Amino acid sequence: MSTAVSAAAPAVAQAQPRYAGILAGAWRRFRRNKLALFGLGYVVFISFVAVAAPYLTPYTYDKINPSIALQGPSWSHPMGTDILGRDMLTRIMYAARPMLIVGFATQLAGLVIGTTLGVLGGYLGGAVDWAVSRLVELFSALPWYLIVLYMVMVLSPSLKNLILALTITSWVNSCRVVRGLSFSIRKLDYVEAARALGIPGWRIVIYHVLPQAIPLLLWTFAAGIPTAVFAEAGLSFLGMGVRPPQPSWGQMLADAGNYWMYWPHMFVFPSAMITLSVLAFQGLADGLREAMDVNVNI
Amino acid sequence: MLAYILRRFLGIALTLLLLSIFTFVLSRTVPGGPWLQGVEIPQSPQQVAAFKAKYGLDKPLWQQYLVWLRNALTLDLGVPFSMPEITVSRLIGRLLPYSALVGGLAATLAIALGVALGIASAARANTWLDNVITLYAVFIGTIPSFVMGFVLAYFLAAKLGWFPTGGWGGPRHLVLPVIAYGLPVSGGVARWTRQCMLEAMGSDYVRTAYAKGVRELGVMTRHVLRNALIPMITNFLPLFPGMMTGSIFIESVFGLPGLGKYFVMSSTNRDYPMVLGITMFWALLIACTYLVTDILYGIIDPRVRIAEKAA
Amino acid sequence: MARKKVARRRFLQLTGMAAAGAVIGGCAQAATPQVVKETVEVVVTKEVEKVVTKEVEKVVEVTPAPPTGPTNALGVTLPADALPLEKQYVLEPIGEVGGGYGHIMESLYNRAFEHFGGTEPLTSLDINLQVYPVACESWQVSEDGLYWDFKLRKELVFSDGKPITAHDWVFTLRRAMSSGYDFGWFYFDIKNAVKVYNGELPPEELGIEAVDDYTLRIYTEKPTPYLPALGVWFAVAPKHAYEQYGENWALDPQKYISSGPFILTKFERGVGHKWELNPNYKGIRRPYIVEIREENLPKGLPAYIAGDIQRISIDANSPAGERALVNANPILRTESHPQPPTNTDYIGFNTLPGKFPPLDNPDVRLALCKAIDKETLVSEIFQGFAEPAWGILPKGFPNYIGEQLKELDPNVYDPEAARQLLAKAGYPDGKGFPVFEMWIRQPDASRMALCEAIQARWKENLGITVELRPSDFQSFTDTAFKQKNAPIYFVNYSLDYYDPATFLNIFRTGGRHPHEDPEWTAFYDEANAIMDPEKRFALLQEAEKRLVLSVAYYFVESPFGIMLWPCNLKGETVQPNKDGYQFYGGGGVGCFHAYEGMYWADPACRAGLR
Repeated sequence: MSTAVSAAAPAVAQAQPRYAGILAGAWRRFRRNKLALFGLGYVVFISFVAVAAPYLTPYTYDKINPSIALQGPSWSHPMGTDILGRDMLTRIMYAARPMLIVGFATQLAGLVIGTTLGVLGGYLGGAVDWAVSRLVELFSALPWYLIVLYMVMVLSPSLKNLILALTITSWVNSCRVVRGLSFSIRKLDYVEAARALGIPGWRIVIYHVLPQAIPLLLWTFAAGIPTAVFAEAGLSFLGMGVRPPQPSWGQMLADAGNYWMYWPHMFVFPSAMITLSVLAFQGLADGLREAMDVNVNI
Repeated sequence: MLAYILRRFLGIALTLLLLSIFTFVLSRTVPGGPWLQGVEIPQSPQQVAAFKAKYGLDKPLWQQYLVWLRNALTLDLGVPFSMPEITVSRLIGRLLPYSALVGGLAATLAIALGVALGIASAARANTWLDNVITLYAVFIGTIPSFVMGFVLAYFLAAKLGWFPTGGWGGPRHLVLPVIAYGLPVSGGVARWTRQCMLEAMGSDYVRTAYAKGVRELGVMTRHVLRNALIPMITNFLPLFPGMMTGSIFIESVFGLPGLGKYFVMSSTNRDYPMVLGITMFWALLIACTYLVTDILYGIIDPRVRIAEKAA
Repeated sequence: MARKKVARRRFLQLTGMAAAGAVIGGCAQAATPQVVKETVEVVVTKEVEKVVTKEVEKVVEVTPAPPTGPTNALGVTLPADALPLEKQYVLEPIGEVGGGYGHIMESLYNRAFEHFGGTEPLTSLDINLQVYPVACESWQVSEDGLYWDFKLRKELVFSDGKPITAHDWVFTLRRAMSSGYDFGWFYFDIKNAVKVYNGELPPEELGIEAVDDYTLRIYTEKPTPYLPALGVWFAVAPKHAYEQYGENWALDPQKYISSGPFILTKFERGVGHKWELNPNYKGIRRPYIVEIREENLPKGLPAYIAGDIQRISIDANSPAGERALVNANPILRTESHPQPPTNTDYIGFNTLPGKFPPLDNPDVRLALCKAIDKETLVSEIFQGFAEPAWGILPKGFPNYIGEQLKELDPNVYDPEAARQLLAKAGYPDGKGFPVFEMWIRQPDASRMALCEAIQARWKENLGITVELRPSDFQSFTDTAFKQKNAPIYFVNYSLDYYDPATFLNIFRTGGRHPHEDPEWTAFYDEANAIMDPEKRFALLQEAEKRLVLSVAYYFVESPFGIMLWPCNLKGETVQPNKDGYQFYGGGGVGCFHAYEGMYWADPACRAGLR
């Protein structure tokens, strides 16, 4: 596990006397990682597209035109049309919305819950830790496909329910990570010293434990988004993705299952978007982690 | 150590109990029921009542649960509604070996390939090798299953005839399903391995080892890998129970016997004994896996052992 | 080896079409006269005491007895071109349900086996889709049409030698109707069936009795002209099996007592089943094949090409590449057999008064119907694998009147008129129209695309928003049919026999649909009970018209598929029928058979497939 961040600051300052502080060093390291830069750029770009979609395209995502169905890429439809004659590029753009919303919301909710419980368990130890561990075990053992299946049977498919379903499993990851970290940090000398000095626990948590956890949590957040994307795609295969006609890449990929051989544009573009997103978020996550963690040897 | 394991088993038992209650209640609150399975014309209320009476479904919920619990403690998980001639436990016992074989081989393939690629990409971080492996890892994980399934089946099996397209038989029948199942997972394994390795490579002792003159291979295997093992095991060990319980897609496309389809099917069929039984079985597997993981922690990392003793 | 293969392949490709044509023509191979050259020594004794030997070439024309194939355990002799007996097996996938009961009279929707190898039905469908007697020899209806006498074949026995009598048939139906048989509603035309099913009357009151050991009499509530057609699903179960072995005898090879040409020899749930010939079978279904194997089988065209599966169905939901592959490959093209449509998808509206307010207004429903251009949508989305449906009967079905129904107002696409109707009902441009959910029963890809298209048309033409709710089978059935809580639903119905009653019966009041129309039900019931076929059909046509005009249902399409099986499958039951359709399985589509009348011949016609 990494040593205290503050100890490394002098080393950095020595190498580059013009930049001071860990953040400047982090950005410099981040910049060197091409994949991380791509990831950052992609996230910015895709967020822009998601928000500005209505202005970027003359078509809507739900107007059907069966006479021009299943056409390959052309000037008027750069990504072709789907089975109902809807413009693929428009649908791809609009599909960025659920991906970002589901990904971010799921991860955020999972992170908040997971961090809270993880810190409580890891730092306080004892009975609290036992309870948190049991909770983690329970939720890991929960067959989430079952829960999602049942949710869909009872509730209407919607973005809200999808986020709820995916959060149930994602918080476990953050919790486990933070708990492990809290556990090991608790044992560190300076933390013990702080406790001996009488500094209240919550101050220690906020000022010492959490900052240590941030790189890891950032990584979990960014790396978890592809998981959410995959999960949404998987659910779409089972027919439980976003509500039609709202497009999502996972749903478009699932719909392409019957057409891909003859009309590859139906699956190539959504698949490429998912691949790019996964690549981008994972690259971003790795880049953040490497940048923030001084000891990673690159 | 023994006391620790015993304590953990108690914890597992508690988890399973809670899970069983949760699953029991959840499966009953969903509309529909086993009598409605596949029928085009719903039965009359009298018929539904007769069905419920026959299977004890008309008793109060808590009573039904206690009956189930009492039987489950003797490993009698009941008889599925749609398969009256076999018990849940025997069905799981019969089909598990098939799923376990395919899933176990697939998980082994995924881990072996993924770890090798991950170590290589970590050792050569940020070079062209690293980028190629990263691209492969992401691509193989995002390639749609229907594409991979068809490509394997059409080119390797139908056209070249090297392997059968499916069915159960000798080792040749296992190759395509194992590849289709394990290859996509290897991508994630490679990425996580790379991450853990990079994490461990930054430690002081690694610098010390290099400074002492240990060659790269020695550093990688003796120092870095050992320390990276803990987070790696955390993520990789659960792959085994996850994959050994079968994949509904792989079993369906390749025509293999297995448990995979029963996970989803028992829920959609409202086959209560099957749902409960298979969920409990799966949960037990996962919980035991975590126990094994924690025991391995203790073996690999002395610090954890000491910390546990102190705690 | 490779070179040899290529040469052979090229040669066969050249002659392939001709060979395939000949093979598919199914002409029986006539015995060819044989030419035998014989050398005969002739000794001629002349007076000149010279012994001269002369060699004479003697040409002998021998027409030997026509060669036959092997004879199977049932005593059936296969034709000459048949493969040896160990290759005469049928390979079927284990049922998708993943579970199931052993005998068809225990459960239809949860059945373990997809054929009638081990059970003998009363009647069946031949390849011309006509009902013909199987377990019986003939039937006769009474003067008033209220009961039917089925003369059972006296020679029929169970696999343990016990004779099959009318008492076994009576026992079977009584048992089914009184133990919650999920297909029980199928027999509701039989006297007292509903009451017995609901437990109001004891099973002995069911309108079925054994007049004597070999005459089965079935009473009906009212004249039921299609009663013999119901017999295609009515199979006999041995009473002594239940008495001796209890409930699960039909899933255990040690206990299985068969009434059909096959008997269960292996049953491993989830792994595989096997059926072999029952030598004690004395009935008229005499299969050529000797074994039925049910295993987990791979899916898709690659598996079919590799020879790992024996048949495959291509329809709108098959990957497009598979259709292209079939079209591009001449052998696969000759192995393609279009199947007639057997089911219809339709949209239903919940018209129960007060439940979902504007939907009980016929104008609103008519507007919804007229806003859909079903012909265009169906042809685009199903790409030729569906017929647009104008009524409930699929195209080609007896008494199909699609051409007439097409002209009826709800089937005519007119968005302007639809808008006016909606405005007249109080929702100009769709303003104020509530947002409804359309429940869809387990849609596949093409049906989902169709529903999305319908949703888009309603939005575009009428300005109303309908949310789609694809749902699993049970949730759908419970919500839409049992609780009747779905405002709009999209569902399918498949035929059970070849008479219009199979479809029209489900629209009677008190059935599954949330729509009550006692007038239509009364009219239909009366029409349905007429024994004179022509009059009955004419009135049933009128009933179908009224069904469409009620606008409680909107019939969308009837999908169909193409079935492929290897060209070396031959036999009487795979020949084209009078309409040119070819069926697989031993008889007409729509019910189960025992793979009679089909056998495997030399696979030369498949060479070069890979």
